[in-house]
This record gives sequence, structure tokens and C-alpha cells, in this order.
Amino acid sequence: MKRDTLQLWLQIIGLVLILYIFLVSIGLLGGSFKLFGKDLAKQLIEMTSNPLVGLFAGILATTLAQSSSTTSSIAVGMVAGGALTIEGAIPVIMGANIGTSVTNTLVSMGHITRKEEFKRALAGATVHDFFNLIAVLILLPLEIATGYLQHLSEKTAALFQGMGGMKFANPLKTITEPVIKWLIELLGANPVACLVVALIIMYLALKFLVDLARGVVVQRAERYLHKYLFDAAPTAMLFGIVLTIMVQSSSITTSMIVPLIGAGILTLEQVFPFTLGANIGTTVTAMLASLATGNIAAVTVAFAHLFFNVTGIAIVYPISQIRQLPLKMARGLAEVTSRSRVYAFVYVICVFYLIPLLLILVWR
Amino acid sequence: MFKEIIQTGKRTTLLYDAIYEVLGMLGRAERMFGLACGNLLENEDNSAEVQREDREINTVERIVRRMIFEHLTLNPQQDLPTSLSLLIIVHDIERSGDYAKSLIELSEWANLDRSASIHADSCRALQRAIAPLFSQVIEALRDSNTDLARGVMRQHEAIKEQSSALIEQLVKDDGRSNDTVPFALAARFLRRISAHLSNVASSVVNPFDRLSGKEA
Repeated sequence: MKRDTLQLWLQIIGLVLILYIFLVSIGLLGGSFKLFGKDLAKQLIEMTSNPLVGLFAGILATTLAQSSSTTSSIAVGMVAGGALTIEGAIPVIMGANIGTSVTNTLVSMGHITRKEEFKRALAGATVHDFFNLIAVLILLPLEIATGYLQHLSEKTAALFQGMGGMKFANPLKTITEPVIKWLIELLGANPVACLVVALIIMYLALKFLVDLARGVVVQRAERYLHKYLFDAAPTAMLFGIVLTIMVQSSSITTSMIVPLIGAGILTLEQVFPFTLGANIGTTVTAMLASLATGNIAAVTVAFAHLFFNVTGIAIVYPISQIRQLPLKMARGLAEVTSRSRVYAFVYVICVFYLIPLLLILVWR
Repeated sequence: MFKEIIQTGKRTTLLYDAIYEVLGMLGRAERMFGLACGNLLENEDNSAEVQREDREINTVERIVRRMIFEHLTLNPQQDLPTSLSLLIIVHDIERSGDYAKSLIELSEWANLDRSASIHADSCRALQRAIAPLFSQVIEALRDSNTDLARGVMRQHEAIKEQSSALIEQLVKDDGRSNDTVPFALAARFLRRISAHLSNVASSVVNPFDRLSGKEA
């Protein structure tokens, strides 16, 4: 066997192993919330009953962990453990979508010493932020008023269950459950210890999963990136979905194109559909996590994540005037920051850290 | 340097594609050179074709730059010397195309006496010496053939002397004609084309910081 082939196989085996550890951590997280009992669950549910608190908690948690997959997987685990309702989890998931776009904005700061390059890079990065903000501004009030995401996700999850989807996912639960039980026993069924261990394992597993997937996928994807990002919008969007599913991180896929925008090789219009595709692709991690829990409410939350992104695109992308909004806002911010680059830092600190933190403190 | 990328498991990278674009670019430059010399020394009308090839070469240069940038953005730790060398090589090939275009311009401006001119024969000799260098450079790059690359660099030294001798002869010639300046310029342009090919060949034998120079 050639060295490269052997290396590829080892990487794939490593990926499967880490994915298994990740699924175990989700089960352990759900288990730890069950161990905490009904009192904590009641408190947490009450806290997230204000959707705005949920939204800003989602933003803040994701910007701190630099991973929406971590936040959405925690939400899924909490729903499975009964510590969060589907209704309370949806704004958290929406917040995770906004929070994840901080990574590529931070990456664009790498161009800060070159004015024109930075202007392009920042616009390319923040188009993702503005799309997510607009989607939340439209869909969160709609969700609060109608509960459309919850209904749609519940119906789809029920359909999925009816079609035998949960039975299909049963082996995931079967192979993870003995290890989860063993870990809970090992930790003396202490809920705090279980929660801390679950969070640590989940964070590390996701980190290694993304790093390894990046190593396996990105080198092989560069030719496709060259081909499809310059292609028509639907192709670029589809490429964004597929690449993000493979890398398991929209932060990685949207960040890696920032230098290309900075250099002027890619335009804002070319990368926009790609970032939207990344939004859809990133929902797969929570979907996997939910299937491993074997809990229908957790699967519903994962579907809500998917439908939120799909409806966001369906509302914003088809109509030219609305589609232009995030592009104009990104260009506007880039124009302002080109006058004084301090505004870029002010934007990141306020939108992703300060405002969410203050509003959580005020509304909790 | 390129052989390893062509032969090993890096066929999925953009660098592999960029190498083939560069080899194709050299083929176009060879064709441009033949057409331009035909225009200048054999009174052919190849101007439109040379212009077309030049535009193609400029386009491919941009494509290769983009490919290298994308490759380095996604895989910054991989093949850095090869990537940077390719950027220099495409520029050398593009410049050789520009000199071929200059030969065309020269033949359009000057009404050269091509048939009985001793200077035209000297330029033909230079053309004959330079023409095989293109295929040798392509082979040297593709196969990382250091012997062939060194051969190209040696041949360029001989062409340089040949060209200098012709220019000196033209400058010192007492019975200067209207053809003196155009042929001196033609000798200079031919020498520059040879020099750019030697620069490309140097990438096979020289370390990165000594590219476009004599063998280290």
C-alpha cells in the first residue's frame, strides 16, 4: 500500500473514532442533565423562556467556543436531557448561527495593515454576519409569533420517526450507550463531574474532528474550490454545503476563503452563495448528535437548525433587493472601517461580545 | 521539483494543474517565437496569430497566479518553494512572449533586407540556436532533469556571446544601412528570449534565492 493511501486510511479511521467519542460526549451531556434532576432543568427552562436571552446566550457561547457546532450540540444534548425545551433551544441555535461568523471576521483582521485588502477581506467576512443577523431579525419575530420552525421541525421529526429514521439511528445509540453508562459509573454518577467531563470531551472531540477533517478534505478540495467558486451561484452554494459537511465547521470553510477575497481573486457576489451553503452544511453536526441521543425532541431541534437556515436563504436570496442588503451592509462597514480601522474592533467587540453579555445580564 | 508533484500523490492539488498550465504556456511561447521569427526573417504575416497567442499567455499567467494563491491559502505549509518558483517562471515565460511580440513590431516598422543580408543570416543562426531550447526546458521542468537544465543554461551563455558579437559587429560596421538598428535590436530581443528560457531552466538546478541566475 502506498504511503499516501495508508495515511488517508489512518486519517479516516481517526475521524470515525473521534466522531464516536463526540457522540459519546453528547450522550454523557444529556445523561448529566438527567442526573441534575428536575430543579435545575426547571431553572434553565425558565431562564431560556425569554427567547432574546436564548438568542444572546447562543451568540456569546458560540463566540467564546468559536464553534456553532459546540453550541448547537450542547443545545441538542440539553434538550435530550430535558434541561431545555424545543421552544427555548431554537433562539439558542439562531444565536449560534450569528456567533459562528465571528471567526472569519477575526481572520479578516489579518489583512488590517493593508487598507484596500482589508476592506475587501472584511466585506467578504461580514457578509456572512449580516446575512445571519438579517435572517434572525426576520425569523425570530416570526418564530415567536407563529412558532413555524417548531411546528415544521416537529412534523418533520415525526415523519422521520414514522419512516423508521430513529430505528435507523438506533445503532448509534446502541454503540454509544455502554460507554456512556460506564463513564457515568466511573464518575460516581456525580452530575457536575459528568457535565464538566462531557463538555471537555465534546470540545476536544469537535476540535480534533474539524482539524482532522480539514487535513483530509482541504488538500483534496482545492481543485474543486478553484472550479466551483467561480461557477454559478447554485453550484457555489452546493459546494459550500458539501465542503462544510465534510469539514464539520462553517467557521473553517468561510474563513479559508477570506484571504482570496482580500487578494481580490474572489468577489463578494461569488462568495455569498458559498457562505449560505456553509450555513446549511454546518447543521449536520447537530443532526448527528441528535440521532445519537435517540431522543425525538433533540432530533426536532436539529431539524429546526436546518430549517432556520433554509428558510433564511429562501427569504433573503431569491429577491434581488433583499439579497443585496447583506452585501451593501458588508460593503458599508468595510467603507467605514477603511477610514479608521478601530471601527472593525468596535464592531466585533460590540456585536459578538458586549451587547450579548449586557442584554443577558439585563434580561435574565 | 515538479517531477515529485507530478508523480506522487499530489494530483488533486492545484499545484499539479498549475505545472501543466506552465508547460502548456512554454509550448505557446515556442509557437510565438517561431511565428515572430518567421515574420521578421522570412517575410511571413503572422502578426495576428502572435497577438492571439500573447493574449492567451497573459491569461494563463493570471490563472497560474490565482491557482498558486488558492493553493497557498488552503495549504500554506505545502510546496512553498515550488509554488513561489512557479510564480517567477510564469513571469519569465510571459516576458519571452513579449519579446516575440517586439520582434513582430520590429518587422512592421523596418523594411528589412532579408534575402542577401549577412545580418539576417546571423539572426537566423541565433533563431536556430534558441528554438530547441523550448522543448529542452519543457522536458527539464517536467522530468526535473538537471542535466538538461544545465545544458540549456550553457547554451544560453553561447547564444549570449553570439548575440553580443553580432551587436558589436553592427555597431562597428562602417557601411551602416537602414537595417543596422533593427537587426541590432532583433539580436538583443533574441538574446533576451534565450535569457528568459535559461531563467526558467535555472529553477530546476538552483535554490529559490538563486533563481534566474547562474548555477549556484
